Amino acid sequence: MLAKYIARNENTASRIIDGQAVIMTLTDNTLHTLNAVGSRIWELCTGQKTMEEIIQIIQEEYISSRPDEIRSDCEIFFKDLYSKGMVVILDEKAQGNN
Amino acid sequence: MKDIISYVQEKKIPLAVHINLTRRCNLHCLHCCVGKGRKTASGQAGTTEAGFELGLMHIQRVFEELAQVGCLLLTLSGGEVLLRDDLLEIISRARELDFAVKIFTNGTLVGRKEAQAFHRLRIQEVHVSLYGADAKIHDLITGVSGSWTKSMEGIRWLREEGVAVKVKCPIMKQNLAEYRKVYELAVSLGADYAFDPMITVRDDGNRDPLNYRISQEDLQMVLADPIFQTKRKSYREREESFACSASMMSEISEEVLCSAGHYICFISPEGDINPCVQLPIFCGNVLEHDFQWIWYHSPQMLRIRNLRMKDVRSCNNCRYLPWCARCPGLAYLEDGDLLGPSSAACWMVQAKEGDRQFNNQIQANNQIQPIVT
Repeated sequence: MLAKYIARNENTASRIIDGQAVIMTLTDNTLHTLNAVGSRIWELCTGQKTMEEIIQIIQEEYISSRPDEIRSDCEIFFKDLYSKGMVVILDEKAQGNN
Repeated sequence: MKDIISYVQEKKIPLAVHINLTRRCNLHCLHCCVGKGRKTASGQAGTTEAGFELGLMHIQRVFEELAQVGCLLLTLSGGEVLLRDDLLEIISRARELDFAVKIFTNGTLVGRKEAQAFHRLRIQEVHVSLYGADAKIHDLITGVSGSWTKSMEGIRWLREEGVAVKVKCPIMKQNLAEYRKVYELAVSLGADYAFDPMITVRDDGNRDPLNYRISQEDLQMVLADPIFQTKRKSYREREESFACSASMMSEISEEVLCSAGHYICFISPEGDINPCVQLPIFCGNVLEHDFQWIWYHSPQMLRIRNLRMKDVRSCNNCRYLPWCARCPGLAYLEDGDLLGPSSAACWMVQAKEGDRQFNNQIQANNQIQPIVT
């Protein structure tokens, strides 16, 4: 599963405000906010990277945290984003830069 | 949501911006709140029979500036927005910049092509005005025979393409007996619905629409209607987070008047910026200044932003104050004083008070469940 690509769902609109992602899911008119790490992951969800690659980037950027904790948190976070319809999982890299 | 609203209010981020793209309309609604607008030089590019309109290039630049300062939620309205030939291009640019886009329309110009485009562009919601459950009353209000049929076709196309629709029905003297039927029609169409008895003065000060406002007695009846109650509940929640009205006297004085100029803003077809669609105080024009300068530095915007409830001195001792959802824009438009009593708010809150007494009486009698909880 982690070898698959992850991209923001087209049914979202988002803005990074002071480093914090504010996301509207257009299907239910709900505003979501993410913390700094979640916002960084959101930025990386372009369909150009696999979930595994994103985990590795976060592990490199947050070296003061334990890698296994980051991995576990990221996996939970991906599931949460997916369950809320905020991302899609792709077998192949998305076309374009999105 | 409450957290993000508090945050953007504190940081003065214009999270939600309403843009009227045109004053042109193919209907002539009795109660229309869109006036003639500020006079601008004729003959310049973008001038239509209704006056100057920002062109696509200007709008694109404004969108980029709005995105830079954190705006996420865009409402595109008019006039009738579908009279703009470049509407789909405008929406495409907005979506490329990752805005959530709502469209306000009368629906008469929505066909399969437009509905498919709205679906493809992931429009958040299309609000369609409907004044009756059949053509008779609706067409009387719009002044255009056949408009109800076209609006209904538009709604059906939108629903067929899976676009979220909200049927909006202002309640006025002419259609007081209709709104329940409109509710049933909206439900049958799979659409959301909203009813609003607050008919307002036109944005150029014309008071003609007030002739259509229902009596306070009728308003009380409307407010007691269970289908209105569910919407009122959400309105109360909105009041709490938007700080439109305060619930505790001790906290009122330092409360902001409303969200205008704090995290919501309005741009007219000519590019004029006001703190809110209902507060026509000119703060600058996007052709003369960039949005960021107007939002953060315009003296008029700062003046509105710095107002607090304690400045509304004439209302400070009013017994209705804890329940009042006074809108400074309506006070300004209808009564000429941003900080004075608002006829509209008094009309509404006194009807609510009657509603409350009515429900207290029901509760005391313990015969049926109260409508207001």
